Amino acid sequence: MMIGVVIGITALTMVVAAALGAQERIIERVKQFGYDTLMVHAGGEVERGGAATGEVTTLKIDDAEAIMLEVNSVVEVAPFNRRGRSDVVYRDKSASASLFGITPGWTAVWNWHVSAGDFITGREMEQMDRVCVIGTTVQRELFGDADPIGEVIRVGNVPFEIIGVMESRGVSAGGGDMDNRVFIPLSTFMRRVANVDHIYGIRVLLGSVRNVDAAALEISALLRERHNLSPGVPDDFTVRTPDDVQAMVEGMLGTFNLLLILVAGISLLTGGIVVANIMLISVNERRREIGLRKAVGARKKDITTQFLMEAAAVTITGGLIGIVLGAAGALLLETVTETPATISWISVAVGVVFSALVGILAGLQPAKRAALLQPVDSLRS
Amino acid sequence: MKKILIEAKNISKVYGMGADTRVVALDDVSLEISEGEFIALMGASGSGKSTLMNILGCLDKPGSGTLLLDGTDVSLMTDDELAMVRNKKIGFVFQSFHLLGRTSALENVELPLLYSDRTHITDLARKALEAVGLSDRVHHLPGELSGGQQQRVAIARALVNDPEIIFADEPTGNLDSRSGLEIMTLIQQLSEQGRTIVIVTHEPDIARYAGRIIQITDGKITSDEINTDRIIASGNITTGGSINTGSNYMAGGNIPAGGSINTGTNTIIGGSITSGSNITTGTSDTGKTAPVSPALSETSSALF
Ligand SMILES: Nc1ncnc2c1ncn2[C@@H]1O[C@H](COP(=O)(O)OP(=O)(O)O)[C@@H](O)[C@H]1O
Ligand SMILES: [Mg+2]
Repeated sequence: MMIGVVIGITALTMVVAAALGAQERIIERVKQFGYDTLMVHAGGEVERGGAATGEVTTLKIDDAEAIMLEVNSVVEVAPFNRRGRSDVVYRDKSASASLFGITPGWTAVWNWHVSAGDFITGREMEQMDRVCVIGTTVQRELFGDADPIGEVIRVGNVPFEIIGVMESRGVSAGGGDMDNRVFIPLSTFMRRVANVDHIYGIRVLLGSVRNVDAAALEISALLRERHNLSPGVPDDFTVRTPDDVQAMVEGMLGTFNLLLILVAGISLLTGGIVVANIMLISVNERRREIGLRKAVGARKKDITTQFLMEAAAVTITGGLIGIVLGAAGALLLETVTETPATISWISVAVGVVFSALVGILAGLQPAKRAALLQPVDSLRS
Repeated sequence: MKKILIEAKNISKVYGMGADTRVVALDDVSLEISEGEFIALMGASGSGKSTLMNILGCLDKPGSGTLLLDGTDVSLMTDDELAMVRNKKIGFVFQSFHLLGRTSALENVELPLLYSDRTHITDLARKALEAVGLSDRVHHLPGELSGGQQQRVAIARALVNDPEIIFADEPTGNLDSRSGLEIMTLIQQLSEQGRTIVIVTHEPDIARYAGRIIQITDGKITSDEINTDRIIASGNITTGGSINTGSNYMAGGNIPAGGSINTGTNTIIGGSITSGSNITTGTSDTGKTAPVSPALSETSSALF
């Protein structure tokens, strides 16, 4: 009986720890997004949702310049385009990374800097130089411990000289590895790699958190005017404020939590059924004991109480052991797989309360059955 | 006059409802048990001894008939009320001991006290173990004790709540003859101290320790008489008390007293022999002296 609960609560604790760890990482990312920034994406809400329609080409680099010049509260813009899963080759090694075409404003807007070498400059942007800055994942996969700066890598057969390495940023709000990226000048990306004239999005840094909503409206109006959208025509772009992003992530986490509760609920229910069954077996095994106790004066409620207390004691003990094992397992998992784990007091408390509850609920029926046994019948067996 | 402890009137018990599975375990049984009596319920296997004992001990309910315990009708009581009655007034000793294997002798003896409102339960349990000669085994688990010692723990458990009556169902049935003798000595001692005792047995040799022997055949009482051929298990016990059971029995008034008063022979095993006489009422076979079984004599001489 104990083993079942131990396994159940161990699993539960591990799952909860891993889930909470993931949540915390995501919330961290959302915070990193910055509350004084906006994101402008190409395509309206509908178009962005409909991925099958192909690339949205409505947003241009001129739009970014216009936002920078015409919206007062804007401090810096970072227009960018990107391509997922590009083959990156260095000598005989290859890796798959996201390719980002960016501008020098990127570091200020994202508050994200190089840890070695230099970031892409305006001059390199103008000259459409084939230079790049790589993330730490790419660095590790292609160069190991060697210094990558000055080396040449090929991205889709175009050679790029590495001029810098970005600070590690970990997992993005969307779950991607932000360190598995290669950054090149946006101009180079548009002309030499992708051959397009549109961009994917513009991240906008504002002077103050207070300007966010007003700036969002101003930018929308500006882009509608620039894109010649008559009233009634929906936006061909999307402006996201940090609140929007937070709401989106919270929605995601809500689903996630629901799933977690479901999984935990099912595992506890199964655990409960197992405990109840084993309790019933134990009631049968202990018929003689029950009969004896009744023969010497135990009343129905004495027997019921005894069985319930035993069930609760065993499941709580099992629960506590499970919490310790689960916490150890989660920490082990964290070091081995780099999945973040967070062991919270809440999850410990929930584990204990649930295991007690499982014990009492599962023990109720067997305990009642035990109490109803007639002493003569149970002593005979 | 000793008071009447148990009065059973027209008790019947039928098992099984179908025509071919129907077993009449008890058929219209009436009897009285007075304070201080030492009774043996005798009969062949399946004759209904245990059924009767269980009903008298409030462990089972009669199918029909009434049962008065201390003048109170227990046949109308709920399960929980019966549990209280068993806890306060009745002690049980079983053939297979029924000790809880994972708890010590002391904890086993404490068990009835847990369901009572008594305090100082450990002291009481220790005293009970002392009374059965096991004060040096209180912390032993049942598995670490011999059969005879286990049964003594069970007797201590039956005694611990100071019950009015002790029921023992084949208490020596799982024991070798030497341990059996030990247990019968102990039970007889309790009887000497005035405790009311009912034992169930199919062995005449065991029944002969009792002061009154009730014979059961096919669920009916076929004889009920004073034991004129009583064995006194230990010479250290004076026979005076056991003779009194005879008069108790008469005081019970269940069977009309009268007829010839025969002087029976008490067989005393071991120690100094003290003579005494039993008063019997004559319904059948009075004064017949059964020979002491050779096995018992051998083992008893080995023991004492
Ligand atoms: N629970 C029961 N169900 C059916 N028959 C029973 C039950 N208990 C006892 N009996 C029957 O009742 C009769 C008397 O049983 P019992 O009192 O145990 O006999 P004894 O103790 O004299 O050997 C037997 O025929 C036995 O098979
Ligand atoms: Mg029997």
